[in-house]
Amino acid sequence: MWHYAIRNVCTLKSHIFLFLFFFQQVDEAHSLQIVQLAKLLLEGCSGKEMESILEYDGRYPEMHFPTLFFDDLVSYLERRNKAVVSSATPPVRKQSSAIVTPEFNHPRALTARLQILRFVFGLGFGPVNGNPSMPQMEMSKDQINDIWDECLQPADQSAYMVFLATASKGDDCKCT
Amino acid sequence: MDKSIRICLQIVKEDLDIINKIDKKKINDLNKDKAVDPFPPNNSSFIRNMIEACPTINALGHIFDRKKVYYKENDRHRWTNAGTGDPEKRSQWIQVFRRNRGFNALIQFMNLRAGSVIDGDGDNLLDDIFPNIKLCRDLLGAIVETLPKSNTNSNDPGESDMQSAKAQCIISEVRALSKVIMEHVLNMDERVLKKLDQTIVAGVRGQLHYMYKKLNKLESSATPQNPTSETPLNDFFTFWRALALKLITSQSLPLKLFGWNEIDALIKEAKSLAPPPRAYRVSGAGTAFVNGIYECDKKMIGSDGYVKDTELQYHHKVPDNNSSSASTNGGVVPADAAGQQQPAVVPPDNVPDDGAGKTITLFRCTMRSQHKWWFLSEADPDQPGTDKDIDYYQLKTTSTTCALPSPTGWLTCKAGSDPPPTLEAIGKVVPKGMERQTVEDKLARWAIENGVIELVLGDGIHREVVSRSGRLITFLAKMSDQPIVVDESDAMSDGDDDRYCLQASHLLLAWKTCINKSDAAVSAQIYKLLVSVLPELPSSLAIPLIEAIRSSLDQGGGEKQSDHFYEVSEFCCAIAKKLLADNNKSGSKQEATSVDEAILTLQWSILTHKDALALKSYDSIKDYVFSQISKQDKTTSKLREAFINQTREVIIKYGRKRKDTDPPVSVIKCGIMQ
Repeated sequence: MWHYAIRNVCTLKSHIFLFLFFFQQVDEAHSLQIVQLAKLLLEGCSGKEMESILEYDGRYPEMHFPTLFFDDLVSYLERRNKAVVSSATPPVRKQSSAIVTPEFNHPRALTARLQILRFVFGLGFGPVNGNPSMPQMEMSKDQINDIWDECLQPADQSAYMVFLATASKGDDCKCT
Repeated sequence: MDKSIRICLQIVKEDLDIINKIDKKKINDLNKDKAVDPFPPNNSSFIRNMIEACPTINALGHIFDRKKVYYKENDRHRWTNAGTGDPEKRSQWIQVFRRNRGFNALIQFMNLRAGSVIDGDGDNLLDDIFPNIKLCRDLLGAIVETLPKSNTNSNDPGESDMQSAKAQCIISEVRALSKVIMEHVLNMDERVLKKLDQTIVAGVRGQLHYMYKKLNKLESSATPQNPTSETPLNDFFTFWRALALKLITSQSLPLKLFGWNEIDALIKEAKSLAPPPRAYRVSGAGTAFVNGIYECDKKMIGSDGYVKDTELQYHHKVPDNNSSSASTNGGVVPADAAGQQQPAVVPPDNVPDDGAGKTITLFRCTMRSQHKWWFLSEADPDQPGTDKDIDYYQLKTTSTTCALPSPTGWLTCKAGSDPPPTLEAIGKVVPKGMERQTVEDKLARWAIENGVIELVLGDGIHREVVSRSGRLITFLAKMSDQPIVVDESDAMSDGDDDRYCLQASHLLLAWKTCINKSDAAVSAQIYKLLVSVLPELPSSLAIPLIEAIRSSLDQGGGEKQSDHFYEVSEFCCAIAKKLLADNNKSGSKQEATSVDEAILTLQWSILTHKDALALKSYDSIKDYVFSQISKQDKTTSKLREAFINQTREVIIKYGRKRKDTDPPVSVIKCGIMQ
């Protein structure tokens, strides 16, 4: 009996620990907010600027924007699958009518990230702003599988299938 | 009726004389007593016993009040015959009172009673002794009518001397009466002032203003822009500023608000009296020879160094050997320097199209619609201001009172070629050494020396006061951005008075008050004030303010300063809304300035803040930032790059740690949209 109670307490403790760990690690709302702002900034870039931003530099692979967005999506799904994701609202000191407390919406967060991914890979699909030298960027099979592996919930899988269906090139697709 | 009024005026005058005699006797007695006892009793009963009221003085109010039905003229356009009076009678009776030396006696009577004496119960003991404020207004309205129309001299020297002496006598009476009334108003106790009808006090001030303007014209050959220390108008402005200060420093809110309304009127008047620029720099015109320095026509400047009350004209003489490159930049080649240059090679038969030798005039012309338009033209020597002029550029205004040309908004006429020019004011038409002695400068000096801004934003801050102070703060901000100076003497006089304008410390005080004040209504009013002032601020003021605001935001996510996120976001939202509305109106596509850069950086700090999504104003700020950040100029590109790098860092921070550093393998093309 005591053994059972202690085990329950330990499980609860580990849940709290996990919750606190992830709460302190990543503010999901802020993470999504920054990704969305980055997309808006990219939308404002000229062709030349875009070219330099999307150019892959082997020396700094972590700085490559399309890869960054991909990593962000995968890490988001990982976080979500691993533990209770922090959906706590940002702490606001002075409450007033000017401040609303939004609830973090996970399905929307996933869809928004997939849209960003589609946007950034779409930029490299063809001449951007009439610039034929824009590098072509494509997602690898491994990358697609990585995302699929992290889509554990039916709603996530459904959203991902919609993304693949609308984003893939149909006849041009080469699966190796 | 006429006879009774004349007798009445005589009675009042005699009463005043009697009282004045009694006063004189009492003062003599007092002086004798003082010799015995150097500390005579100075209490209210003593004062009451000392001076008396004039029982008949209020009759003057009935006689001189122009609003009395008796003085109303017949109005032929009205169906009723309500006005049956005779306004001429009032003027006649005023003259009768003056000729009887009534005003003289009145001034003597009032001199001893100016100010207020309050007893322990808060009653003004002189309330019924000095003429009440309404009577003061009527007396001022009456005495101003005694002023001669102009200082015209008669052909007969003897008669001229007599007229001149009479005019001087009247003028000194007028000045003495206005002086005693001003003294009384300024010495009034706050409790007395509070009880007065503000419209009547404003009326007295208005009468004084009107009177001093007339006196200024009569007493000196001064132009309206010349209220120097010797002119009567200077006395009035000194009084006006002192009255405004008395009101805004009072404890009563209605008096404070009244004082702020007076400051608004002061600013308006000071602006209307601002001397015009000494010259204009015209630049950027497609017709190159139109560019250059346009000097004010010397015929328009009076002997006192101020502009005469006529239409302004500025001229630019294109050098005889004009080279387009010299004038394209709006620069001027000095005549002697130009003379040393190689003469331009122009075929003798060809008429040069570089405007060499032409005189281009910047002037204002009244159109048939009565609108006043400005032109940059080659004026016809015989009939300037007609269709015979060769117009290069024009500035259309719908106003009939637009006294000065605006820097932008010019249009190209038939003779000119695009683009139209822009104008830049240079200096002021004032005598040397008087550049910082204009009414505007004195007002700015008064505001800074008396700490008026600190009064607004200090401990006793009130939202109504803050809302009314916007005009003064904008005015002071503009004073720091005075027309540029060209010669060394101007530059030297400039440096000394730089402190008599809005300072960065004032704006920082406003922000400090804003973040320390718990009253949201006051803070909201300060945001509104700062946002309205921001477009008028030079970069030397705007950037420190924005930097201070940004530093009060918790950049690092620490706890210490994060309280101010809400205040900064409110300020950013107010700016975003205003600038978005302004951009929609003007469709401005100008290159971003350093101030725009600072504003965008501040707004970006809010957008990327961890608490930003909780803001209702998030979308407004985002809309503004992304409407600006997509501009394709150098400054914006630099900012965009910095912002992209910031987002990259945060995404890396939140993203997973990569092991595979190989570039992505091409398998599926999934990019379709654009």
